[in-house]
Amino acid sequence: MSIPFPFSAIVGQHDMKLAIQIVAVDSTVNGILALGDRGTGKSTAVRALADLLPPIKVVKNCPYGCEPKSQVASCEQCASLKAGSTASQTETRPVPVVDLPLGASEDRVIGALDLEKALSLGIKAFSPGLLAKANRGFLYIDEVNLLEDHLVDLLIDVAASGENVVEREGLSVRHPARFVLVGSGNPEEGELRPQLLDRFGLCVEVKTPQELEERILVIKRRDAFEKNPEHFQKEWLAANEALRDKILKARKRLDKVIISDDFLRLCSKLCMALGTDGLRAELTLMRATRAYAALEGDKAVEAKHLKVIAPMALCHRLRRDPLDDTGSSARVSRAMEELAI
Amino acid sequence: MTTLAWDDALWGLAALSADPEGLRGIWLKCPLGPVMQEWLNWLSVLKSNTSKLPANVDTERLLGGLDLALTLQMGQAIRQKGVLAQSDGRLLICPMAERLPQLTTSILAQVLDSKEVNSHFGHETQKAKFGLVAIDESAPNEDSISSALAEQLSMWLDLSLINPNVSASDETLDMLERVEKKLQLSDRHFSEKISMFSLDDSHVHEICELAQGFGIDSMRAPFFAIRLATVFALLRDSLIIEAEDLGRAARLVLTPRATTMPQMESAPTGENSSATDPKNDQNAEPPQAVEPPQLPQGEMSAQEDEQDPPHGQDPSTPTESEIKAMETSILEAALATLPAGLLNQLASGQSLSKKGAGGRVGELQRGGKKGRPLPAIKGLPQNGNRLHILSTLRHAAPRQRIRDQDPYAKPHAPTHQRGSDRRLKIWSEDFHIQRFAKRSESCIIFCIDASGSAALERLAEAKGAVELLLKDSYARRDHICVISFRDKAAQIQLPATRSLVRAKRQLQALPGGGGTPLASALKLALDTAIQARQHGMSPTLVILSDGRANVTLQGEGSRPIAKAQALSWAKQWRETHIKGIWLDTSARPEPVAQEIAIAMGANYVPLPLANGQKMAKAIESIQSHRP
Repeated sequence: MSIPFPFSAIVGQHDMKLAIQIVAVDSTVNGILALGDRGTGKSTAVRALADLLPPIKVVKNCPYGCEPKSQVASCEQCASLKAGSTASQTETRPVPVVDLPLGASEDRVIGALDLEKALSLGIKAFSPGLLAKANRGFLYIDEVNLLEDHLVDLLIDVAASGENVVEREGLSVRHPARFVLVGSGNPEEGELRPQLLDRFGLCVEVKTPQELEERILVIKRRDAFEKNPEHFQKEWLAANEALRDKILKARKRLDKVIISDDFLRLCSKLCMALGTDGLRAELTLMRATRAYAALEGDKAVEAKHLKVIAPMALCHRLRRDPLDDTGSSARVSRAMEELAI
Repeated sequence: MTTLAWDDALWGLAALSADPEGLRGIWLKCPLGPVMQEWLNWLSVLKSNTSKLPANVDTERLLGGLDLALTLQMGQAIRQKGVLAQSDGRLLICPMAERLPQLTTSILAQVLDSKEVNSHFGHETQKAKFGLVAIDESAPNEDSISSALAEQLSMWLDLSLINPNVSASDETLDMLERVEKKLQLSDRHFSEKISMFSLDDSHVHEICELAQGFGIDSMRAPFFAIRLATVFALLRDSLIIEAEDLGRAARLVLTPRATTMPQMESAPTGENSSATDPKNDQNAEPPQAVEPPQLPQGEMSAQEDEQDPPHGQDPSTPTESEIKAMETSILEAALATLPAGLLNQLASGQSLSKKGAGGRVGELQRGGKKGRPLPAIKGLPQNGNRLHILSTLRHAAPRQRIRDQDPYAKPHAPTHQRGSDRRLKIWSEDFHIQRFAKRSESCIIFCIDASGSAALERLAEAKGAVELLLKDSYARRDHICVISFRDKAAQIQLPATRSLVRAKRQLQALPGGGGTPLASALKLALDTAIQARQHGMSPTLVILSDGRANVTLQGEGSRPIAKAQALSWAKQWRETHIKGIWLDTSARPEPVAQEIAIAMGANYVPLPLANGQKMAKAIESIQSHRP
């Protein structure tokens, strides 16, 4: 694999970076949608994740990267290993960040019959697809708004259940596929299906830095990176490690962060004022604010956390009225003002 | 156009040959002809190891996967590198890039960006650092290459205006000769030097400022410009980037992407637009002497002269004014080869690159044999059905052992001699055929009469109807396209889109008033509808007008001629058999409108008191009556 651009060397993009840190702390926040023009560095930020996050422990040679200690959600192979009570060998792998190409075939995404084994040995075996590879990591879809409908249906289902079920070509396989869905796209080129939109926990808008100095910094760092990636990576190693520590500490603190009933009431009030559908909004709001508080090192979630997170978590869940021109973020901030958050 | 433009084209070519992996490629807009031939000749001189990417390449070959012929022969899976991985370190030439299917362009864009390929089967990643020459032969009113792909290509080069008789300057020819020799010695010659090159902050500053001034949002553009300027300096055997390099890089990278005109210190855009007319003539002419580009011609330098005195009076620090002077000179250089018409567009605030870069290229609809692939089904490859080899193999593969032992299959063959007969046994029950989903997307083309005769309130109603339809369009998979006609000619207000955001923005800006150029509207609607059909969409035309044409195709006011022209275009429309509906917006049903509607073969619906809801309903009802 080629060296990714270091996460901490990314200039600006505070929302995007924060959203990524939040899902890195609590993967149940479930996904980021990054909206913006091309060339604003969305892909760079996502691809940098693999390098930023600590490697994960997996059962050795497990194609799905199963967790050695977990009791639930492991593939058939690992489940039988565990039943056999032999201590499974482990290995470490970098967190998978899988790029889903726009035109990927269904076979490629969900997996298909392993031709090599079938042809040479005559064995019916399953060759895992991209969903298997993304298990416990991130699935990145660039231009998610242009994704083919049949793939969207598939993703909606797998993202919700955390499990990929393949029943075709005589195969009957189910394997865990828990991943954080990260999508990016430009809303001007097409809209997202509401069902898929709802699956993304957070939605951030990514813009090119408007300050000349920032732009210059972007170009200079990019240039240094392209010319000598190894050296550039070393230069940013310390910063990346500091950030990694912060995320790891936040993960540990996560369970201890106190969420008061008053705060939950506030969340619900906000969601009701905005008329969001379903309870997913409240859930995401709660999880994301908790992760944010953990990142900040605070002991309890407060209104100040909500203020930062609410636009990200709610913007894309508002009912859209094409005849109303107010931007969704404006509506969120108006609702927050009314509730005096 | 000028020698300057041709020089730029050749410098760009040399730069790409020297640094394919950093510059990633060229979007070469050019019709087939001597100029393109000459350019490609030069390319083959500099870079011998180019390969060609046919537009119909399939994903399997593009990304790599099973080598089917060998797999069948050997009886075991044989993998094969894809075209992209094979062209690592090379140049890939793609003719007719505007016709590439969306899948191919998105793969290309992704691989150009990440510089590695995930092969179609298995999960190994392979390096694929190649440069792409995307040749775009699209006519002005056709779709050009996808914007996702264009974004990844550093240089956007338009050769269509270059005179075939133009010859390169001596300096350029010298450079080409030197580069050829160096590349022959070592492919890596330049890439090593680039990684050692140190950048000057002031250059980065200038390029960034210029990019911002041009309204370019993508950070890739200034990055590419800097890289290109670096390569240009190296091509001149220098380690210092000169203003000349920056100017040339800006012309190739930034100017074609420009969406607005930079605000110059003492020359506001208003002044610019008024000054563009005389520039038209000067810019169109080649410069008197064959000179390298440092001196931009004509008006711009004259403007500079006017600006200079106030500059001098201004007691600013010398370094600042130096930087300013450098910036203006780069801006001038950047605009030196821009055709005058485009400059006008820029100055009037219309964007260049955002126009027509929808990047949705489709194929003609041909029954169920084309379109989005569906899972293969069992069936024989007859009646033009294509065999789906992979599914066939998949079906046959697990049954090989049984068939090996099946006495009826090959009674005389020894069953367990693996060495002698390892060929696959494929029976007719294994055959799978490819299926495709017919694209059923529809496209509603609104042709809105925004002239003075159609009252302004009607315009508001029409806008309302469009927005209402668009609201449901996602669920119904409709595209919407809006054409308005008023004053002198019709205009596409909104290219086919499903995007609410864009539609809303465009509709709000729809102006009204003036004459009724009906013929021009029908002509444009016809073009648009045919284009939509070529994309595999089924178009429907909705005209909102009173039919009182009074402006001819030539933009002159004449009622009888205008009507005759409108009728003749209406007849042309009829030939296409595309559905149409005419909503008569006049206060009383208008016989002229009815006459034209009948000539078009369109449904005529008088709507004396229309409102958005009613219109939307009328359109829905005609759409549901599909032939």
